[in-house]
Amino acid sequence: MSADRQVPAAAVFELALAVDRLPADLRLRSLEWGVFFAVTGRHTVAQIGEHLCLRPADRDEAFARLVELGLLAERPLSAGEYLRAASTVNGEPRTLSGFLTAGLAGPPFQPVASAAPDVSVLEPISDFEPLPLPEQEIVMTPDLPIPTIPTIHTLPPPLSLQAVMRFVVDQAPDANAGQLDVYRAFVRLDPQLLKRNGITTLRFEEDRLLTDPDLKSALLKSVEQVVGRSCPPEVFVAAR
Amino acid sequence: MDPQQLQLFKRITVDYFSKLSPTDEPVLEPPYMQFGAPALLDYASLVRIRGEQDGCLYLTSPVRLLHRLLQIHGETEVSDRTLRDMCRELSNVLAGNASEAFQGGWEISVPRSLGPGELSGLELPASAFVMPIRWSGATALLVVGLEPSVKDP
Repeated sequence: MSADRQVPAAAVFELALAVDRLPADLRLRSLEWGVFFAVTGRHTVAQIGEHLCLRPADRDEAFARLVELGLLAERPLSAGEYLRAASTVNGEPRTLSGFLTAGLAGPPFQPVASAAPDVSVLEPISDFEPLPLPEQEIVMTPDLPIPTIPTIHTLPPPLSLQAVMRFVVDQAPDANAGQLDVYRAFVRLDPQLLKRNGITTLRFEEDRLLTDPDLKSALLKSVEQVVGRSCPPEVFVAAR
Repeated sequence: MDPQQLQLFKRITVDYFSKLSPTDEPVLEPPYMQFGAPALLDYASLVRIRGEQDGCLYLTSPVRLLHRLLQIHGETEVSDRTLRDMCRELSNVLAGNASEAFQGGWEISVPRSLGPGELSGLELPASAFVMPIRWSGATALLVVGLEPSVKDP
């Protein structure tokens, strides 16, 4: 892997293109697909790399290629978000003095392990280090109380729209009534949320995978209100 | 909105086309949902509804379909005036069908007919249930658009 393909480990990326808008002829390596589907817009490059057990070079290569292809875009962060993001990076300075002397995320295109001058606050990096347990996730010294962000292992799997619609239709006495219930569930959703995910039309037999946590949450809530029951776990792709 | 009411509304609207030309059976294509930009063709016949939810019902047609309707009615002139007349006729049919299907608890507005140039200013619900009706080589869209209920959280 080339050294110039490094990506800041504290960066947070989001999908630039909804899954259903991907070019039909798009071909990616399995590692790149893995990264693509792990991107939530809420987790850092470091978290996703750890979750998928990727070496930093492979991880960065995959992120760089996805960005080049216009599939991912970096999310601008507020200072608070950035501090939380930086705290997820192994080897990142974990003290305020560390942040101030080494830069908030350390030099972005240098190996993180050798970036910070204050080595006393760094932890050794292991490329294949398993994802830490929640209570081990953020180790901070008292001088910089950085709040935790959701850990990568809470990443929900994609939601199958077809499975959700089928569930709603199955609760109704017939297909026509079921389709009307599906429509009722969608009427309650913010159209901007649908638009953001590239959903402008939807056929009842069509399948799309939702990764946007806001849309997934809104749809599941709406379905529950319409049919009076929660969707089963089978609506999530990974649970099938 | 009761599914039986919607079924009745759909059936009697399709029947209108069946009766016009018995040899040219209308075909209901699979419905779909449309979000954001409304489903609109060249002309639209529309009624607003108020009840358990507010919204509208409309039939939007391409020129080709209205042209065919004009032919069946013996009208040889195809112009903006006659196309609008035909659209107005469809509006009356639609309003009658809506009144028949959505009885009890629903208020149906007077019908409106809209042609090219008038559709862009039309305010419609952001989410629509679209039922395409293929007839005589053209496809009209029978659309239900409901606003989110004010009772929704």
